[in-house]
Amino acid sequence: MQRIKRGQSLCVIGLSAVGLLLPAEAADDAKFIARGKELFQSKICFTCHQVDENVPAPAGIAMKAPKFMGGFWGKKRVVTLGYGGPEATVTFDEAYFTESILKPMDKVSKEAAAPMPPPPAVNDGEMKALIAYVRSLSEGGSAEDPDGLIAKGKINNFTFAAYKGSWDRLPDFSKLKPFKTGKAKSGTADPGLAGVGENFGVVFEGDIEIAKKGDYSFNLGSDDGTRLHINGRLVVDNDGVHGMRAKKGSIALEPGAARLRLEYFERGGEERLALDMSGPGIKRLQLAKQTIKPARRGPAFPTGNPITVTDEARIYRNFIEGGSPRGIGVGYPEKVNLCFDANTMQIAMLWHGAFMDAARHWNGRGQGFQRPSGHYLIRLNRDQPFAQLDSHDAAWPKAEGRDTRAKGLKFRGYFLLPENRRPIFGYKIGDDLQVADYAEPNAGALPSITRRLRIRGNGKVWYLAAAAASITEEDGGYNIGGTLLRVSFPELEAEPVIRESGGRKELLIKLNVEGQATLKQHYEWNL
Amino acid sequence: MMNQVTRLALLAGLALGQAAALRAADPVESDYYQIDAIPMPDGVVMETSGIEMMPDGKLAICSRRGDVYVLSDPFGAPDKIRWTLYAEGLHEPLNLAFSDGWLYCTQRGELTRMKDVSGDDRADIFETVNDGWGITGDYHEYAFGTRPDPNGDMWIVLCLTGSFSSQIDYRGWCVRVTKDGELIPTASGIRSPGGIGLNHLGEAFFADNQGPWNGSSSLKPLSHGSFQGHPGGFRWYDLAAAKTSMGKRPTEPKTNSRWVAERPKIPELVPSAIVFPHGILGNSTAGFAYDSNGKFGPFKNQLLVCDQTFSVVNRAFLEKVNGVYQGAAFSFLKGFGSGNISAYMHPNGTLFVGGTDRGWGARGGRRFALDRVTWKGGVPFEMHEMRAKPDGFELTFTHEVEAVSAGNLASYSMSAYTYIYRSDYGSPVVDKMTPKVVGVEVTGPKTVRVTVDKLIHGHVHELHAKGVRSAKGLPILHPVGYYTLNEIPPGELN
Repeated sequence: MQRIKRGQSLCVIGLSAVGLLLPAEAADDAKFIARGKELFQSKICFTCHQVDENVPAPAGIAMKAPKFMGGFWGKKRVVTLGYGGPEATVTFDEAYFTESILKPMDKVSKEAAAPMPPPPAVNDGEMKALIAYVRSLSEGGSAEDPDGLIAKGKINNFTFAAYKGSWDRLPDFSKLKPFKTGKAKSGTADPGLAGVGENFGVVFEGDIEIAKKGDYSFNLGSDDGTRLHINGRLVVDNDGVHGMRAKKGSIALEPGAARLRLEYFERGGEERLALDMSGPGIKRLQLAKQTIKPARRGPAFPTGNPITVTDEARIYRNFIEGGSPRGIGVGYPEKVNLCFDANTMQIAMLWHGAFMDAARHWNGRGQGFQRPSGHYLIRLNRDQPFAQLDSHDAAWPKAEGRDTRAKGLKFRGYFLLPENRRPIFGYKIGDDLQVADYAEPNAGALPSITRRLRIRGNGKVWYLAAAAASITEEDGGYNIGGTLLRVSFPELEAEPVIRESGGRKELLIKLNVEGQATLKQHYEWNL
Repeated sequence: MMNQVTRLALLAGLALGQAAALRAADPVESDYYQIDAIPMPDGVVMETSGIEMMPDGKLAICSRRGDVYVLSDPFGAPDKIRWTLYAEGLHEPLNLAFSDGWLYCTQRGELTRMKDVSGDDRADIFETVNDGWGITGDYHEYAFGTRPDPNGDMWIVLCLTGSFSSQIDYRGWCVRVTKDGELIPTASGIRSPGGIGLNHLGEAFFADNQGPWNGSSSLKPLSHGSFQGHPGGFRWYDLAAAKTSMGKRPTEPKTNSRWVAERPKIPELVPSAIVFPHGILGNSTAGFAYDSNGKFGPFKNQLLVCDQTFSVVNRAFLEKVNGVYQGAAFSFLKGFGSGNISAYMHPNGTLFVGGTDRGWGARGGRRFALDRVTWKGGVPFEMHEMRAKPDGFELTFTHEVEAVSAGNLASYSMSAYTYIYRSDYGSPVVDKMTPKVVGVEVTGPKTVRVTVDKLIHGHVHELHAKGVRSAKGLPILHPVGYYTLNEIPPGELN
């Protein structure tokens, strides 16, 4: 009773306070927008209300929740007064927005399949920020990109020269012969002018008109590498093969024409080029084909709930990106971690440093797969480690998709060693063989893992130590192609065989288990 | 003249004051039950999703975040309770059950049992009892389980992938796991469970939540071979184990229909035993518990059912009519800290309730909570039972009734309604009717027979008994009963 009363009075205060405290200019404040954007995540609005065409809100699809896209602010919409109640028309404004959050059952969007569940409590300041943010999402709304306006500009006396070649870094274009050139009175830096998709480079040159003396900054984004010279001086170096990546630089300029030279190269994949400048009287003038968008929210890498590993091993069972839905993360104090996949009984990933951050799973509804923290992460072949092949050339049972489960293997759980909480995983092969699968971490500058397998029972079984496009034997170990993984077998009596099967190389060991067999595999890797 | 007016005003003021004083003296829930929030140690985030007693008198609780804590002296002063971490890293566990020396726990992908063998008060064996159902990585794919039933089986309900479909084995099904770890496909038609448990007879019930094919959240009885209403998981009837255990797939229900219209066409379709009208008694029915010996008050064996959104516990009286479970729901207790999802009743009459508001908001206001409820000893004046009769209902009260108010037609009113049975999300209230209370007879010191001009097959019958007073003059603490009339009892032969 008391709780409900408190809630009601809070609603009243909330409504009036927001109405009073929210002049239009406050809503435009980029600070509020940024805060609102965070709240939109933490208050789980994002799980239902889609704001970006590239990032669907799965729960919202099912619920037919209103999307905050296109022009919606200030527009009319049809609601029902109470769920399933009579229809009414409202204007999507501050008052309606506030009411919808505080009393979601009162006016339910007609298009929605269900009323909005009550969200976590929102205080006045938070409401202000949410309004500013949601309003900024509406086209034609009063708020703009917090990074400032973009105006399109042109490069005067524009010329370009395109070159063919495959490079890791920008070449010395002066020593190369262009296959295509062009000029124009003015133009925009556009890699598309080269007319080819990969293994090419372009040099753009021209003048930019400077009206006021002062410092000018340039934001250069590209996929792959770029370098910007102004008046012969290097201002931004964004060289190398990489995805879309932006770098900034600045230079003092005098009034008049400033000479621009922009070098670009693309090896493979996507090609993108963005260049904008700002300075006295210029707020983000766009000089290349594309713009640098602020980092997209959506499937970002959430953080904030690190699982810290101190003096004993820690377990994290959840949806771990790179493993199956039955991932079991293990973090060791030796600064090495692994993800055991209980769908295939295989070690799916190994990495160094920090273990996991549970932010994705411990906030909101816990949607999606969380990428491991740390560094030097390698993904191993996830195919099941053991199989009873009908013949020596029979195909290995593959983990085709994330949900494929091992054929003939059955997960039994794990035992944590009392002294250090390291897990020993158990599983069965058919009815006759039991496996104890124990990963032992090795501390060091480059920590590594030793996997000790003990198979009990009687029977013949094959062990898949690795599978990759190439496997080469070197110095008593094996280099696994495609990764910088090296495996070796410190105590092995049997000879591993490398076979070609299904378009890949497989490193196999045949075991004839009579009572018990053991196997020790060492994994070390670098990046 | 002025004097008279003043005197009148004074009198009016006095009368108002008296009325207010009378109202203030009416009993409230907290006169009968005490809710104590159990404080958590710094840094502990216990989104309480499962509660179970350990044989050493400690209370085990698990959290959606994957931790299991053991609480020593759980009946002592709340701030003196000691918390010890027993296990961690489990995959969104949603129940705990102690049996045969093991602590069982349903994780998203498997039924696990754990044990401490090294004697350091932390579990070190985590044995997979059965993992025979699929998960794709969709957050909706929850798994809720029971304690062992009299047969030793644990009943597990598996939420659909998302809300509408079943992308992998047995999503949207109920399975049982036997003592030997064997999985038996048991029922189809589950949508999005909020809890599961056994009643005092060892029969399994689960809470399904409003959504596609569920107009309102409800409590449903589970039986082998039954279809619980959502056809999204029908493809798994083709799996060998389901074929053996369940036979052929039922007829698909027609959308935009009613349960009563579909039941005759689909013999496997089992109606909800208790509908908790959406937005009235709650929005999200969850776990439940019951008092097996009367140490928690007068409601022995009735189900005390959590609602996550409303942060309340409702009460359900169940009966069987024509072999079908049905009954009445009543408000029971409010004032819980967060979104209630799990409940456990100790034989000493202490009820533990826990929950979280993560992902789905709750009115309680706290992000997560563990609350303890104890009965103060007094008996609230309530409708103890509400039984269907061929022409109305029989009410049994917890106290003797005052004959005049209890026998007065004007003390009662009724409305009846139902929900659309459809593939779309939820349903508005439809087919609203107003059965007229045409007869009232006080048939015993605590019983009243209410006759209405019509009963509507399949409807929720909402009975208001606001005018009834106990022999001691008390009003009914929660004077509304919501009876789900799946079956109308046949008339007695003369």
